Amino acid sequence: MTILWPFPHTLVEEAGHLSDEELFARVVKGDGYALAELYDRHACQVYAIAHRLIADPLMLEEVIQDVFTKVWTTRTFDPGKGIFVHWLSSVSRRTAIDHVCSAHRRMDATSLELTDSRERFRRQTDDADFNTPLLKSELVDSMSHLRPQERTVVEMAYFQGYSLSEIASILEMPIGTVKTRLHRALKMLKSFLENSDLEVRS
Amino acid sequence: MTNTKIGCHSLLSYMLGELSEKETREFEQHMTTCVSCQQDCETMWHTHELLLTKEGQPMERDAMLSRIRENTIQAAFSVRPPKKNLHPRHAPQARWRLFASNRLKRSFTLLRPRFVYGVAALLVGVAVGVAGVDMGIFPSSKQPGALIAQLDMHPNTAYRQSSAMAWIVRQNRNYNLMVYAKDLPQQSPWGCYDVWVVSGSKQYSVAEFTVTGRGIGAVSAVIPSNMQFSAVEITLEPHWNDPVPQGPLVLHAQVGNV
Repeated sequence: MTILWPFPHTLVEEAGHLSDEELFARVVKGDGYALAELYDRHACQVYAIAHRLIADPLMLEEVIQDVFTKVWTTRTFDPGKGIFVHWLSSVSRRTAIDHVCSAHRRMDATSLELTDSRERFRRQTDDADFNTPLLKSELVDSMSHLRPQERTVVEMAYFQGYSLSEIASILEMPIGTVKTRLHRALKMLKSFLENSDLEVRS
Repeated sequence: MTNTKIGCHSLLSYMLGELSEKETREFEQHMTTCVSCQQDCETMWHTHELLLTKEGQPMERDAMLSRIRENTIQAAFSVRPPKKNLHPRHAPQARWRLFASNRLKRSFTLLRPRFVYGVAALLVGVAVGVAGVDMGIFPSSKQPGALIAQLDMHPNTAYRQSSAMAWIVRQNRNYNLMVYAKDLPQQSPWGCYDVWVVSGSKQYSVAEFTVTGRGIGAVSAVIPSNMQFSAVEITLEPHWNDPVPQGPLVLHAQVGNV
């Protein structure tokens, strides 16, 4: 006979050995301890993604709560097919953008100064200086190697919260071109990062 | 974006969280078979993550995450209760708090000997009780079960092919409800079949089950004898442990007042 004592701590230790996908499968079956373990593992990541777009601490808390409520109730992620961390990143970013846009809609209802929520979003991120100075230093160096058109797409997608179709519309180019530029930029950044890492080591 | 557009070119939309839930599912299915997308995703993910995140001050971040941890978990539980009740007092502590707290370790060390003595005394008591019953020293508490009702459950219109039988047996001070169902459709990966008893205008979940590949399922539940109920229902639920029925009624039977 196995005596589980202390009961919750034993479950925590057991959950600590499981992969994210195995924990998620337990969450689906209503295991609250698995949700707590996923929170402990990934709350920092959710915070970091939301913090890229949101400065207000209260809104940050709301986003984190919403993301983990989605983890608890979703039926969209299949742990047999996808990687939990990838899915969580997508959900975190989408939830953060939704919160910012809905907050701006509420503000727009009382103020007619800025009617375009995206425009307000862009200005907020500019005002808060959410650009390259807040990136990790190695990434700042790598960004400077990108061609201007690729750098613009990266900045609009990651720092200003525009969707790919919005970038295509603003830059007046096909969405396929936006994707190609972003794809190329990400691969080039990876290559620059690897090279700088090698230089540092040598 | 329509379904036909999901393919290799959807990778960046997936990474940036721009696909709908249905499209995300479809793309993940696509990724399981597309080696090119798997390699691209692996190549770009680290850089993508660096761009996507902003670390902030670690002390500030950890303080916030620790402070909102219980509220976040309870907020999720308010939408769907956990299978085992997880009171905030019992919720596992965050690692950074659990291991940082010597006080907690001290209290655990103090509790341990008392617990071991308690369990030892309990085991001795159980052993004496079992031995006593076997030797005829104490009278057995077993009582014969009595069949109260046998129910042929009626399928709802959308589930005409399904059928189920239920038995209610009174034993000791409880009712045992046993259900056997067949020809049921497969539940979703996150779903299950839920057995409800109807008492007045309220439904109470008494058991949940999933079906085999051939659509067969069975479950038993213990119901307190002081509970009055007039019908048994089976629903197909989208989640485990929903507090009220969320899915369609599949089978039902009236039992009169038990």
